[in-house]
Amino acid sequence: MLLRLRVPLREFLKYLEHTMTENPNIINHTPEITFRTEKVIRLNAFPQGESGTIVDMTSDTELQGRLMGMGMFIGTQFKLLQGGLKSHKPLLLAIGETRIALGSEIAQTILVEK
Amino acid sequence: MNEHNEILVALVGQPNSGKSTVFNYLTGLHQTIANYPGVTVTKKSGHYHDDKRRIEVVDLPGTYSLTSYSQEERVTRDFLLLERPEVVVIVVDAANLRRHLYFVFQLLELQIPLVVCLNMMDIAERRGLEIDVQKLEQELGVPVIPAIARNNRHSKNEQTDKNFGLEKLRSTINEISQKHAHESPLVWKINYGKLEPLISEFDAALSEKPPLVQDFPSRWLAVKLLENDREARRIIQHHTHDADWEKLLENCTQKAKDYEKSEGDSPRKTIAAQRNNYAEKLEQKTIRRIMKPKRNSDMLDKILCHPLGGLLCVGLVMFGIFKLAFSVSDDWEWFPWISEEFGFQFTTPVSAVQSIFDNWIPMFLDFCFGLPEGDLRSLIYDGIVSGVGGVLVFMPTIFFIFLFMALLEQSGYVARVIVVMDRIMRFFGIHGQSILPLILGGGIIGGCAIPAVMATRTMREQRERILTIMIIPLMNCGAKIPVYALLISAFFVANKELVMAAIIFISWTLALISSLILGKTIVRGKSSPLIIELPTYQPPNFYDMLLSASLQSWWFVKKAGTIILAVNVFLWVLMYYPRLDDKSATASEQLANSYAAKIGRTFEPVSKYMGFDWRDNVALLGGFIAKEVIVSSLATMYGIESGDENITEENEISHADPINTPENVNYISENELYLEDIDYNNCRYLASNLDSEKDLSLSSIELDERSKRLAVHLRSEKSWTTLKAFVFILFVMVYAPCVATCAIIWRETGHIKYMLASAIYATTVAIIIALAVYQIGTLITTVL
Repeated sequence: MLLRLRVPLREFLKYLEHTMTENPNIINHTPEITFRTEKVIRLNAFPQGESGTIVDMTSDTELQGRLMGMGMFIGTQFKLLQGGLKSHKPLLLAIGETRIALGSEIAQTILVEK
Repeated sequence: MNEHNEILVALVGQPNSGKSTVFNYLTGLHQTIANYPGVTVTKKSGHYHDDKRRIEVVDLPGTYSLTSYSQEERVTRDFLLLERPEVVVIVVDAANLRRHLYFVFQLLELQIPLVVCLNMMDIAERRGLEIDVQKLEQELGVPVIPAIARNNRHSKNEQTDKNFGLEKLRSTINEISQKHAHESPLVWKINYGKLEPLISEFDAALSEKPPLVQDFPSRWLAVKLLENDREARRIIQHHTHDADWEKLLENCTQKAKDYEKSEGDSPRKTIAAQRNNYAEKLEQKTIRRIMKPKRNSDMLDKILCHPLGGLLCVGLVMFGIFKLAFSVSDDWEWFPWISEEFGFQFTTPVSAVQSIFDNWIPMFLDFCFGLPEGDLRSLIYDGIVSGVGGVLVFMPTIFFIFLFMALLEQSGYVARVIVVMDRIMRFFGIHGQSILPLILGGGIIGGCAIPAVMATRTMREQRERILTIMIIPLMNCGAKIPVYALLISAFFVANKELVMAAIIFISWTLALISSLILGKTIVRGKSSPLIIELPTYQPPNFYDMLLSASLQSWWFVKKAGTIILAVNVFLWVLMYYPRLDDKSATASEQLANSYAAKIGRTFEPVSKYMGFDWRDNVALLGGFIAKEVIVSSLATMYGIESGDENITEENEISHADPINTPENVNYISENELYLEDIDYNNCRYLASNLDSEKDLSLSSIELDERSKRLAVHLRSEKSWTTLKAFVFILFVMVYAPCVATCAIIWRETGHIKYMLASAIYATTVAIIIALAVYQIGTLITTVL
């Protein structure tokens, strides 16, 4: 599981580097997140106790469907109650009145900003 | 289905919406449970009567949305579309309205006769929310009924009763079902903005085919196709074989891709976002925050979900529940005034059941029929009465465990347990939720695999559920404890606690390793990640708890009782026949001649490498039927029978065995010592007694009289060494789950293959371990 998730991360970083420096053409086809790399981080790296907004979800469609069913959409505001800062603890999110616990490996697939 | 006298109502809703409380209210005790054909999803249904009509209510599995990714979602959707219930009730949490509206929209798009039950109005109120129900009704175009399902039964005001909450829901169901089914419901639409042209295009194309449109609304199918939903594609392929449709599907894929290129977002994301926007808008229109919310459960969650503190709490709560369940059912004297004056032990629920089967039923049978000694009498008394009694004696304890589990579930704590345990269990490929069933099955010590397997129903992920079911039998259930107790007091007197702790450690190690192995072989698949909603803490509803505990206990009795009865009769035949002509033959002589003994001897060539001779084999075979039998079978096999000839041995016990001080040796009446012909069941009560009373305190492993003599006997027996005793313990711990457990595994998973896999896997592992330990042990002892 861990191995599988680490590879996309590395690829993603490489990809960002690539788009920003060498090949500006790609930017046209990528979603807006590439322009906000400074602020956008993965949910599992988000500081505990802070509020933020979901920017993108990169997991497979099945998981996305479940997250949406629980009220997590692009643009949804949340507060991180527990976990984060790359600890492997499960994360506790407050979205409106709902409280959701997420494994850190899923949190890794969710991009957020403050 | 008869339209006039029976109506079908489906209950849907997200998890934690209070759906099951609504279901319990509507149907009460009239509930049945089954599996949907071919899948492991549990189907709950029940009925009630209204205006002379029978109203059949089906409680569909709780799902967060209606995509087709999980089994539950597919089951729900297929049921709604294909069974065409007259009324669909969606239970919605008023305190989390936006999220639930998202789900309501998906149902509205299916164009089914919907009623929204706006549950948990009290919690919404406590959070300072005011909901404009009429406005909501207007916007949705379907009836919306505010309710507080949890408190409905307590509502005293009769005037409001009929017009509020679940009584109103009943009358609305009645009303809607009386409308003609073919009066097509209002076509409810969300405007999907830029996607609309595409949707109408495919909507038009799809509505040309009548057979398809009859079952599935065309607009819904069009939206699903653009969402790239696998199931929608399958539906179209399944219903039509035209080349045209192939083209349409291809066209759809192409258009979706084009859309993604031009808009930068896939149609799927647009659709979800639009639904969410719409839900948000509707929420703003209908909900007013009239005061600041009070929420203090976040502080509580900080402790209960903390990796360390939470773990401690889980441990304490689990231990507490077990201690309490055993105390209530078997330690506390409920009716101390009914004492032995009546000749029956009637002080605790367990002893009451025991008395009924030990004394009352045989007495009643004697009184009514007065059967003479012989085959029939032995069959009825030993085979049937005591067999069924042996299972039912667990009932009170199981009932209380179910009751406390229902309490945990309703209070909302279970979700926190899952979060805390998940990190540890995930390492072994199972879900945090597995911890509850595993503990029920004997994870601490004492328990039963049958309720444990039933408890996995609450697990949502099928892979994890089946994995958990497969490793539950490796836990140390109450029936295995007497065997441990016997052998420990015979061979490991000096360090009982250490051996007991080692047993628990070994069984958990084996279970977790097995989970790793089985997860890579038989139950392959991706382990599903942790996503769980933490419901609001709520005071439990006692009626609901009681209902769920009684229903589950009843299912346990029905499922286990019937199978155990049948198998008991079978076992009785094996051990009873063929009879010796010699009337004076002792029970052990009879048994040595029985079919069971023959089977035991057949296995001897293999089992001798594990150190077991044919007598041990017979006991172990009996243990496959029910583990409680092992000790009594051993006693019978080794000829521990009547009291008179063992008086000297009894004295010997008190000298030889330091734990059995003379005060502890209870002299039992001769009556009890005289065993009937072959009484493999007699000891069951003693055994079950032993486990339920003593299993929690490791230091006080005590044995009944017969087992004590057996312990002494085994110690003097040449073939029994400390090594063999240890191997025997290991074997009993691991080998095939008992028949009742097997049956429940089959029922709960819906496939016989999982039952067979579980039995074969466990037995294979047991044989390998026993062989290895015995051979290596023998080698070491000979070298030393």
